[in-house]
Amino acid sequence: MTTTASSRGFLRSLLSKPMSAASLIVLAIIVIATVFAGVLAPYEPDAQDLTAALQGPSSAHWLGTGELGRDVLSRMMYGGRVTLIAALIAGATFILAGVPAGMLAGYRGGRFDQVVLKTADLVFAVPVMIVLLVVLAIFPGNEFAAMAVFGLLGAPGLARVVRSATLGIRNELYVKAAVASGIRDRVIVLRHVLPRVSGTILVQASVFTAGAVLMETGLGFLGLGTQNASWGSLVAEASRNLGIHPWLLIPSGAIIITFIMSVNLLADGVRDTLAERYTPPAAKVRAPRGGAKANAGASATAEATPVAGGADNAGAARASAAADPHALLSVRSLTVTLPIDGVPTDIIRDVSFDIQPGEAMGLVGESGSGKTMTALSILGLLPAGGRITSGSVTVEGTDVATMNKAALRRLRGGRIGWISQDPISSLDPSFTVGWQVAEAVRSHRPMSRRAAWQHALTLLEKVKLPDVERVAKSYPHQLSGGMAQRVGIAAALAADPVLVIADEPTTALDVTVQADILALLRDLQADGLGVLLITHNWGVLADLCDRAAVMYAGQVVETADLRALVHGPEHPYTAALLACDPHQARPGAPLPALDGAVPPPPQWPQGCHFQSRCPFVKDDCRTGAIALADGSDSSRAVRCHHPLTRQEVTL
Amino acid sequence: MIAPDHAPASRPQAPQGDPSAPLLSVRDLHVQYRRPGRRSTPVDAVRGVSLDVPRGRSIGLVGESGSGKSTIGSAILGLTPVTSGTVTYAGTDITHASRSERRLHARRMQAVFQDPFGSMNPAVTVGDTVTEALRHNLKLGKQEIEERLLRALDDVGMPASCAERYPAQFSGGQRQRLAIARALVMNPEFIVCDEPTSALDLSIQAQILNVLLDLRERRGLSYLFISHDLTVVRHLCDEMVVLYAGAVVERGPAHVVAESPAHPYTRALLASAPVPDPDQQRARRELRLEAGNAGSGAPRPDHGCRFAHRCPFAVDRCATAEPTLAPVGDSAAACFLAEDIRERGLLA
Repeated sequence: MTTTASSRGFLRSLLSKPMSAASLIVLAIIVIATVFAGVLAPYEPDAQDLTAALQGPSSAHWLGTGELGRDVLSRMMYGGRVTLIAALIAGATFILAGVPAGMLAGYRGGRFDQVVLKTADLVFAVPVMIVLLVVLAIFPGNEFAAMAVFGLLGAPGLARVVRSATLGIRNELYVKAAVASGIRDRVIVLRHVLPRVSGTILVQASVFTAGAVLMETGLGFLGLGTQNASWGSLVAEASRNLGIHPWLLIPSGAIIITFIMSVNLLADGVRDTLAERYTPPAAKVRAPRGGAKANAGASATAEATPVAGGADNAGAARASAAADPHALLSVRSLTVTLPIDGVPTDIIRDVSFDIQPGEAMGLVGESGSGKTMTALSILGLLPAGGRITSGSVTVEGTDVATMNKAALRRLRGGRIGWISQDPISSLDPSFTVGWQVAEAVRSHRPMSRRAAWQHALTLLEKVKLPDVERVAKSYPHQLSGGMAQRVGIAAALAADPVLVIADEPTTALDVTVQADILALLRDLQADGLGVLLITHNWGVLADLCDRAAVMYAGQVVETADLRALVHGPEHPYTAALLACDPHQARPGAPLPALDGAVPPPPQWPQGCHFQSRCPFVKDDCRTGAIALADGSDSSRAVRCHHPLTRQEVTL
Repeated sequence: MIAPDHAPASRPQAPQGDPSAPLLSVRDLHVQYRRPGRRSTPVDAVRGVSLDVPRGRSIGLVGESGSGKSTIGSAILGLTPVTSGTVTYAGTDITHASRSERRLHARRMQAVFQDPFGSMNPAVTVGDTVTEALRHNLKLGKQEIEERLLRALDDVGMPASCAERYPAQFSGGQRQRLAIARALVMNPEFIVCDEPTSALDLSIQAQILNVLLDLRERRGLSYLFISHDLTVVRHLCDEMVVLYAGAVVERGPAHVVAESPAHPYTRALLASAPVPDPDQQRARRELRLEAGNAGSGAPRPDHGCRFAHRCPFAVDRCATAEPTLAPVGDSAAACFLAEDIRERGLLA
């Protein structure tokens, strides 16, 4: 049931590509003309008209005539049978021998894999043409035998490609999961592996089949192929008469080129359509947890043009408050819009906070709460189409919106350093880490390579790496996760920044290494560096930060001194997020879990964004925007109509 | 059961279906990996690990990356070849079980993996993925498949309507619920959970832990719970096994190990895991300073105690002899100074 539905969808999306649809039509015409040549062709293939030999196109002979006055169009239609069957035989042999060998070699590995690889190496060294000549000497004029051998000789190449594709898929977790649930290899290969490699197989097979058509033509040209009408013998005929009647080469040449091009274009379309099924449909707003997040800033981003504007956003109660000129970073009523499915949608709404010199502030919340997007907008590194629609970001008294490109570049990696979540993949694997840190130094301060290298060593020492000379000459993959993160921090410090933004800097690390990295960040902070820490881990927050802002669905819902926040949360979301931590729970008892998930930006409700998950929701929470209002003490602000009191929290 | 011919003849075989025998029993497990390259020396990923999972109990396997905890899980599931030692499941030796024997065991033993994004084929509907083993392994009828699917989805708190949709349409937490449902449809008695919550947010982690706790209660499941997070293991498991460099360094009731560790490594792990309360965390930090810095960068010794180079309590003896697991009160630790370490206790 599902298969028919999905195959119908497959055909529809294939035909929606103009190139694929056109080549499908062309191929259909060629195949129909060939298969039904007996009915459709105007003449018999060998019907002779000696009075009209070697004529150009005419009403009687649309494509003219060849030697002995045989009709070119009819010979092409009948000849297509021979050529296409020959190509099909070659293609089928190629797939039937190459795919099973490659998949088994990739999936099973071991000795069979060795045999397949060695055979492939051996066959690559065999001169194809000579083998074909031998075959044709044994079976004179038997093109089909030659084509089967041609397919066999090509198969090892396919086997190698399929093998490496299979190797990759075999290591996919879902194949492992299928093995663990006791599913037969045969089923796994057919259900999980074959569909994934089918695109590769198709492309390989179509290129090969097209090559087989050329090979058939070549054999015909050499006079070694069939003596009957075929595209090859047509070309041979044309070449014999090239001097007296060059027109003859045009129909046969054109049909071969058209056929090969259509096959290749169709195969490309099929491969793309298959590949679409393996990529999630909608462009996701937030990157999945893991390395992708770290690269969000580097790739697929465009220079956002920050616009400080007067868009009168509801809930911008504190918008009037001016930016703090003494703060390192002052974010005021920041609202960021990004097109989602073509609709401009707020992804950050009315976010305000300050970081003073030497202060460490945390941004905490679930994934999808907008923590990383806030940080990216501070650096002007929003994804394509994203822009600041209201509010301001002020760095050391200068509004980022007023900065030109050069100033923005000085800001990024200059005044503000960035520490990413996945240290190893944020370093380029083909350069030594010392070189990369030195480049970071040179990009902000012109100096000689030697001086930059020396400075890089100083930085690596500053992040407490042992044996810096050796580490500097290592490549990223030679370092442990903790060492790579220290290198990442050294690179972030390259231009002597006043503030570093650390986006989940320890999520990928072991706890003991995490503690070391946090200790390093704490030391740097003690030397006067401001830190904006993005995290979802309360423990990491407690270890480093003095103050925190809790984010939920694009808004800051509570900000306070960390001690006050942890001991007496006033926003129900803060309280719920704290309660989820198993530290506080009685072992074995159900955790007071927060049901559901953060709503994505297009589904933000009117009123409080947390209303759908809030146990204390009242009617007035569902209408109108809620402002971030002063809380019970001076350091605190809460975006809630009914802030919690101490008693409610302990309940 | 047919024993493979290369297996040693004298293998301890518990009688079939003995209710008092542990469900899963691992004895002196060794796993070696060979790095790519012809003359490389093999890496000892697991060095003589023994553990039991009694019926209806949850055992937590804790350690840092490279400690061998996931390798043990893979070896139990037959995804990694075992170098030596035995894995016995419900009285049957499955160490070198063939794929067809494994197929029978898959009805009772299932797995949930860490990465909810990678563990499902993106081109197959969720319902298809969840019921795959029912169709292709158990070969059940349509109606029974449907019933089991609905029950499993209900057990993990997912609506029946989600079966028609594709993995890309679900969040990480939802996918992890579906991965648990895939294990549940087989009606297993034992599930290997390999870091099932490490890729999730705190709030989602809490949801998944609640699902696992609830299933243990309702279906009487046993878990082998592999995690780097002591807090999570302590919350979910009855017993805790701490691994370091491929060997067990401490084991015992989860709360005992988490509250009064007897091995310096366990102590270092506990001191390193930060707590949400800033004041408590400050105290822990001081404890950690006292417990010594872990990142000395020195290579791990290959004789004596493997933890000696990171251990603030190491004495001369630690460099020459490797301590074995010895009982310390209710638990057991592989440390010459276990009694002292336990008495020192943990702050906060």
